[in-house]
Order: sequence, then structure tokens, then C-alpha cells
Amino acid sequence: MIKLSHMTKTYGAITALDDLSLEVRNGECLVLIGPSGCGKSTLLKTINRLVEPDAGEITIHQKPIHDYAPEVLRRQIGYCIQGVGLFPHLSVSDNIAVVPRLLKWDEPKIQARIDELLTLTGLPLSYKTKRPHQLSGGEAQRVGVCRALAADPEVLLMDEPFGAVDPMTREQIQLAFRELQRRLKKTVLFVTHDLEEAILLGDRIALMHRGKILELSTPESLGQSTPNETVNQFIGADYALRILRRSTLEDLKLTAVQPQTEDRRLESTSSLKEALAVLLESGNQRVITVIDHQAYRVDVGDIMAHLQAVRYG
Amino acid sequence: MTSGRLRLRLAGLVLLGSSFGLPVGDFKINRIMRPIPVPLSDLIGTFGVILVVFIGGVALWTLAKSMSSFIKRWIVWGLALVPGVLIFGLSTFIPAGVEFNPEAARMALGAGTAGIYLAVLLAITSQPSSRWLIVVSIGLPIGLAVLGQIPMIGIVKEYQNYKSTFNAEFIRHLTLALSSGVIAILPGILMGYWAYKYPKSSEGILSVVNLFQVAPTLSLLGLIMIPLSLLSKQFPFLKSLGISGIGFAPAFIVLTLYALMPIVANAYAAFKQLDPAVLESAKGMGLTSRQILRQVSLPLASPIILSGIRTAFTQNIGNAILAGLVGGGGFGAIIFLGLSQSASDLVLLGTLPVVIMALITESLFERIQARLERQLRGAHD
Ligand SMILES: Nc1ncnc2c1ncn2[C@@H]1O[C@H](COP(=O)(O)OP(=O)(O)OP(=O)(O)O)[C@@H](O)[C@H]1O
Ligand SMILES: [Mg+2]
Repeated sequence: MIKLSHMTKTYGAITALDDLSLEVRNGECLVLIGPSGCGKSTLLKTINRLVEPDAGEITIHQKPIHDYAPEVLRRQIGYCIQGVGLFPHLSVSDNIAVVPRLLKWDEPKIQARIDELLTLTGLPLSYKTKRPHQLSGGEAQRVGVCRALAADPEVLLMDEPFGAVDPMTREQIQLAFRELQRRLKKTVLFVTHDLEEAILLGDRIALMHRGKILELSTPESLGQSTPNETVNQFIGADYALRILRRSTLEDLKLTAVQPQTEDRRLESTSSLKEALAVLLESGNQRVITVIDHQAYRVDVGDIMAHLQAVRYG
Repeated sequence: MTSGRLRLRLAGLVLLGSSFGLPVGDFKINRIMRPIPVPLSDLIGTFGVILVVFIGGVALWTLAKSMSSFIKRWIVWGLALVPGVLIFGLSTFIPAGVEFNPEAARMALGAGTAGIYLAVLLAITSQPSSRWLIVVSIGLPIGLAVLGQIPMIGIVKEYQNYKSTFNAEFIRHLTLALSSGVIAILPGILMGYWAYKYPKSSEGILSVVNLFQVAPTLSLLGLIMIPLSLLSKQFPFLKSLGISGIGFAPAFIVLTLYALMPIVANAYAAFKQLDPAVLESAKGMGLTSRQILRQVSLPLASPIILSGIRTAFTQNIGNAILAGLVGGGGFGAIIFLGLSQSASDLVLLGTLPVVIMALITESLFERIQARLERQLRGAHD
């Protein structure tokens, strides 16, 4: 658990952090989102002591971070930044091996770990000898994630790690990361600009504004607790549509039917957003999905009921 | 038009001008007498000159038009031999109707020879991979001289007269240029790093370094001589170490200061251009500042630092000539002696090796740099 209490940081007249408190629970991915310049990166960097706050305290697993030397602390925390910042003069392997080598792991263990991480992030093992300039933007960001995960840290800090790639690749990496996080259950503080990304990846979302946390809740109930003009503006009127992406047809309570040949079929793993889009253009055609050899009818009403339950229920 | 074609056109013009307009040699009965200009037509006749210019023109034209690279290869190798052949011809030339003593008489290389050599260089360098061609075009005349095949050429005569001085000054020059360059490397990099690490100091350091750039070498030499001679008067033991206002010490100091300049400036620029994201991720991963310097900053800055060192060394080889003015020795001593005696061959004897040394230094560094780039960018690309 990462616990930040009453953090304040000013740069001259600018208040980057304003008496901010926050807890990241063990094994959760907490996404920090907010407009540019609201202090997200500053907050992240106080945790690995790249920034020293003016006031406030941080503990990781109840231990104040100032109990460690900065280098020792940093080697225990995975860190990914927007610019990726791979070392251009080192191969992919050597980039990933930096922290394990600092921690004096033995070489066979490091090599095995590199293979494991590349496989985990879906990169071919032949990439080990490549240099960063030979990678595409998306591949480089995957290597950046591998590097942050290298020494198997419990805590990960990620500052817009998927910022610099095209939307298609970006979605791929996001899904791969979500899969990874479901398995690894790291304690992640994830910074982004992108609401879609926050909804897709966050167990909880913290909405930050001018150095403060405006709201902290699950993606489903964001904007529900206290009516707030800034929050509403930020999440937008179509927020309900956006959170449909988090659920799939398998999450719905559906009515079983006999399948017909003229039915339109959907994968049971389709997101509700995709399902809704298909329903909207299906006209009179019936839409079904098959779960465990049983066909179910998909209806707008089902989706609406689900949304009511998770968001307003 | 590609720069290759442009070079070939220029080569054609220079060849035409040098063959017809300028004397290829200056015959002197002895060192002091006025020279008799020897145009190319004296060597091979007017018809010969027309033939040479015609053949040369065809050769250049062939190089310019894309024909088989096989033929082009033959042409450039042929061209590379031209200066050697011309100089050999000059050495055997005996002017008609002039009485002279072969011991004292000599043939100075004339402006025409320089022009023809320039035309050859232009033609050679218009083609890819010209390094060995350049080596041959310079090496052939030197080889002929060493083998005693061109004894009448002025510069060879001067070498015979000044052989032991030449060898001593050669060592002197090389020692002076290289040692002052080597001494400047570490402080230069450190000063550059310092300026980068402490931005407040950078302005001060860089402006001092720029001061050397603005102050002409010669005036710096003068400025150094005064305190040095005062010091050695004050502390006689310095004098016994060979440190005084004239000689090796002031030249060495000035050259070191000059070498410092490109090294500091490049090192500063090299550290400055490092990607902040790379440095931040290095720090964020838990590298100590020393580890960041050794494992990240230095390797990434090294190509630019190295090119600063390259500039320092090539410019030092040229600047070391000025040591001759303050009794520091080197080829400058030979050049200034030649100037004082109006002996152009002696001047050439001092200048030519400096040019060759500078070229060799350049190409050595080029190789080191290429290897370094390969290492940094990865073997396969
Ligand atoms: N080293 C610094 N010196 C001065 N001001 C700074 C420094 N770092 C950040 N700031 C200021 O603090 C504020 C918060 O910066 P921060 O980088 O935390 O924003 P951010 O939320 O990460 O923005 P973005 O989404 O654009 O990355 C900004 O106004 C920024 O200009
Ligand atoms: Mg930021």
C-alpha cells in the first residue's frame, strides 16, 4: 500500500500539490487523471523521490520512504515515463537488465527473466539484440514496461506510458497491459490524460485538478457522489457510453433463446459498447450471443439494466 | 548537378588554365638567382600540351557521364599517377641555352604543377572511395624522392641539405602537437561536464574558452611569453627545467589552451543534447549519479566529444607551426627559415608534411569515430 498524506509542493507561484492525500491499495491499479499541469507527474515523482515535497509524508507498506536511500528505494519501484527513455546505446536485453544488474542478480536468472518478460508483453525473443532505434513506438513502450517490471517490483509508477503511439497500437498495448495486471496484481499508480484509458485500466480513478484530488471512485461511479461542475465537465455527457467498454456480454443477465439462422451473432467477449453499436444498426434483426453452448438474446434493455446497476445502483 | 559533376567541371577548368597559362616549374641556376619559368609546353611541346589537355578532357568527361564503373576505376588510377609523372619529367628537364652547375641548380615546383595536382584531386574525389587514390597521388612523388629518382626537384634538394634538421623538427612538431592535445583531453571533458552540470558556471567557462577562439594564436603566444619569462627570471630552477619565455614551454601552453577550446565546447554540447527522458529514467531506476555518468551520459556523449578531440588534434598540428616563431621548433622553424631566405622550396618542405600529417590525423579519427558509432548503434542495422 502506498499512502500519501498532506503532500504540498510549490514551484515559485505555482502550487503543483495542494495538501493532497491519497492511498493506493495493494494490488490495485489506481489511475490518476486530470488536465495538463494539474500536478500528476509531480505527485508520481514524489513517490520515487525524483521530486522532494515541501511538506507531507509517504509510506510504502507502512514504512516511510525516507527510511531508504533514494537509489535503494528506486530499485524497488518500477518506473515508466512518457518519453520511454530507453538507453539508445544498449540492446533491448541490456535495457531490461539494468535494475536486476544493479541488484546483483546472477546472470542466468537475469536472462531467464528477460525471456519471461518479452513473452509476457508479446515481443518476440529475437528482439533481444535489437537497439531501441530499431523498434517501433509501440514496441519501445512494451520494452519500457518490461524494464519497469524487470526486478519484479511490487509497486509500479507509470507516467503516460502509452502516450506516444497511434490509437490502434495503443489499444493493443492497453489490453495487453490489462491482461498482465490481472495476472500480476501489482500496486500501480498510473498517470494518463486519456479518459478512455483510465476507464479501461483503472480499478479506481482519481480525478486531479490544481494539485488536489477532486474525486476518487471506481470508473463506474465516477461523477456520482457529489455533483461538481468541474467533474461533470471533465467526464462529459457521454460518460455512460464510455464505461460500457468495461463490461462484456458475459456480465449481463440475458434471456435464453433458440438460435435461428437469420440471427445476428456477437462474440460473448464483445464489450457492451460494441454490442450497443450492433444493436443500434441491427434494425428488426435479432441479436444473439452464445455462452457455454446456450444462445441468449441481446437486448438494449439488458444493457440499460446493467448500466443502471453498476452506475446508479 | 551533383557535387561530383561540379568537381569535374572545376577540374577541367583548372587543368586548362594550369596547362596553358601557368609555369609548371621554376628553374633556378642556384638558390639565389631569379627563376626561369618553365611552362608545360617546354617539357612536351605545344602539340603535347594540346594532346594532354584533350586526353584529360576526355577522361573527365567520361567520369562525369555514367559509364561502366570499371572504366572509371582505370581512369582515376591513371589520374592519380599524373602528379608523380609530371614531377619526374620536371626533374629530368634541362633548359636550353643556359649554363649551370647541376650541384647548385634546382627545379622548383611551379603554380602549374599545383594547379594540375588540384585538378587531379578534384577528379579523384568526385568518385566514391577515393582515400587510396589520394594516398597514391601523394605517395608516388614522395616515393620517387626517397628512391633518389627526382634529385633536381627543389624541395628534394632542400631536404638533402636540411635532412637532420628536418628529422629533428619532425619529431619536435609531432611531440608538441600530440602531447599538448593529449594533455587537454581530460581537463577539457571535465570543464565541459562542469559547465553542463552547473549551469551557473557554464557562461563563465564558455566565455573564457571563447576568448581563446577570438584571440589570435600569435597574440596569445606573445601574452604567454611575458609572464613565463618573468617567472623564469624570478625562479631560476624553472629555467633549469627548460621553462622560459621562449622555446618549448610557451608553445606547449598555448597549444594546450587552444586544444582545450573545441574539447570543452563539444563536451558541453554533447552532455547538453542528452535526452532528458533517458536521464530521468536512469535516475528513476535507481542508478547513482556516478553510474549515470559512466553507463549512460559518457557513452552517449562520446561521439560528439570525440569529434571535439579530432578538431583539437588537427588544428594543433597546424597551429604547432607557430612554435617556430618562439624557438619552440617544429616545422614552423623550417618554414620561417625558408621565408627569411625567400627560399620557396624550403617553405614547401616545411608545409607539405604538416598538411599530410593533418590529413592522416583526420582519417585516423574518422575510423575511430565510425567504429564508435557502430558500437553505439549496434552491429546490425
Ligand atoms: N521542475 C519544475 N520547475 C518549475 N515548475 C515545475 C517543475 N515541474 C513542474 N512544474 C510545474 O508544476 C505544475 C505541475 O506539473 P506536472 O508536471 O506535475 O503536471 P502534469 O499534471 O504531469 O501535466 P502533464 O499532463 O502536461 O504532464 C505545472 O504547472 C508545471 O509547470
Ligand atoms: Mg506529466
